[in-house]
Amino acid sequence: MSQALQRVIVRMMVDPAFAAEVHAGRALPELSGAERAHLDQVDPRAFGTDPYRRSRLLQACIEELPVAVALLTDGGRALPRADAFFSSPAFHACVQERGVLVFAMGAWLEERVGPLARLELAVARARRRRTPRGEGLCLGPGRWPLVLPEGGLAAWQAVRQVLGPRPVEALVGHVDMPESCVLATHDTSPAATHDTSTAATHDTSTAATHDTSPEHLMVRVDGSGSAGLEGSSEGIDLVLRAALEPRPPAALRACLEEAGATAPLARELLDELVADGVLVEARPRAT
Amino acid sequence: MSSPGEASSAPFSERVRALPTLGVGLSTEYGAADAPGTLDPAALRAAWPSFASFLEVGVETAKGLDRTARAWAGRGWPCTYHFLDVNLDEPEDLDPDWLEELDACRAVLRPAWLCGDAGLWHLGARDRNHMLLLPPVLTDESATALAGGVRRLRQLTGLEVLPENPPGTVFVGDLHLCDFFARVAERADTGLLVDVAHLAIYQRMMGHELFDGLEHLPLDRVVEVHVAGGTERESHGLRWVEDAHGPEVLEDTWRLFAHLAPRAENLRAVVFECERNPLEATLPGFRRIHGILRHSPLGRRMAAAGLARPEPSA
Repeated sequence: MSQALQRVIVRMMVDPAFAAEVHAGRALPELSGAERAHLDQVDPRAFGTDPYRRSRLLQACIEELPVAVALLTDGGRALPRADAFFSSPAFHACVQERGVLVFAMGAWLEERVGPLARLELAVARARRRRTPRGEGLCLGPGRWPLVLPEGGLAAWQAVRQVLGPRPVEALVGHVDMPESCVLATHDTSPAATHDTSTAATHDTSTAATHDTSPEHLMVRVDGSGSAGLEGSSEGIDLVLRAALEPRPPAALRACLEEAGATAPLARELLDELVADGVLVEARPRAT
Repeated sequence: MSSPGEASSAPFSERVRALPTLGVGLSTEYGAADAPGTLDPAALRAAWPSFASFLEVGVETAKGLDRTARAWAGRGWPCTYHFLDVNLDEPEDLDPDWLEELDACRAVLRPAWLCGDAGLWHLGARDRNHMLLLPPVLTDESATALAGGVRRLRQLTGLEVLPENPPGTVFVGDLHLCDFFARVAERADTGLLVDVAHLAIYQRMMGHELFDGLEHLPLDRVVEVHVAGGTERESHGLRWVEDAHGPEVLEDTWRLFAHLAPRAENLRAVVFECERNPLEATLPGFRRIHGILRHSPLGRRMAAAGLARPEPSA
């Protein structure tokens, strides 16, 4: 597939170390022999004519993930660590598999700095969310469910305050992160019992379930792009996650009942979510 | 989406007869005319009508149309729609949401046709952070995939879709760029947009002579031509040309334009891509384009349509 070759070219343009390995003969199982032969005929210098391509991508990502990037800080500088994403398997998989960079980087950051990275990742997802097509009810545009460990929101706000009104500029310089902020990001969850200062990996899929008293929230991004947070609950969170794809109302009521709501209460809660515009009718499928 | 129109059913050789003669125009994209000292399309049209017979509007549907494009369209002046956000060889890129947004923009512009670089406009999924532009892979398989996207978009919109040869520094594949686009045109049964600045970039990058491979180009399918300034650069000893859209057009680009213009019997439109430059700096380029077109098939059509006088308005 020529698309696979084009994606390899993009990766080479963004990641010079990868490009050097390819030029040195690194195997590329994603390419056919003919595609590899085409690639080998290109002057290696041609991949590096835009020296700012990588930094533009980095800037675009950290504009959406400033706190998560700041939490990478080690001795005051976070950007070199964040830049390493563009040489990571996560970046290469994202390009090759037609993913979204800010989502991939957000997940990569969560593995390194813990569940606080979820907040900005949820905002990025809410910002891009459109009403899905299909039949039934679904989570509305500009919304995304979020679970943080106990104290997580306060810890995120503390780091955000350190970054000031222009977080990207702050991250370019020396980030003087108060120790309390760093500790807060790692110590609120029982899952974080290992040494996070070495950027150890969290189990991102289950971290929230380990929290003693997790904070259930919902991100809401308005038409101007401004993000806000609303309180949620375990039961509502279940519904919101189920409603990422269109579901029949009965299936969503069942989520609430599984979380302990009586049938009348489940019906009432679901009606409220619809009345508040949190859940909306899915758009018709395209003809 | 709009209903597929007549444009999608007849062969290109018949469809092309219905395409309007647009003459010489200029390009814009979202916000390009807002910076101080840059070209105002309406001002150019007022001062030099035949330099701005139409406006080619570059569109990322997520951004929509800026006030310059809306104002131009609102006066009923001719437009073409230049997409900046679709990878035509990826079927999943012609998704219902994008098509809805495209439809909303074209309802405002009422463009004569759609056109745009047939390359990689975004890495990964379509996302605001992913924009770039790379050439297609120049292979037979890739030509087939690209032709499928052109044909599909034409069917969905009922408008002609003119694929354009993109710029770049990394060209891969075993076909000459002109041979590649000849195959795309034949398989999609479509017209072409030839960017002579991009073609000059390709020839230089590949070490070809300026006119190498041009015999492959089906000149009867060339409906639109782009002319633009380029800037010579050097990286690690590699000399290349940046598609800078400045007012200074490289001589290779002029030579290619002078070669194609008299031979392209179905040429309908020429864009001088010079947005983001002061009006006065662009005038020599427009004059030279008119001069080259004077004895061409398009020049004769322009004369018949009253679009051929490279003079200021009275």
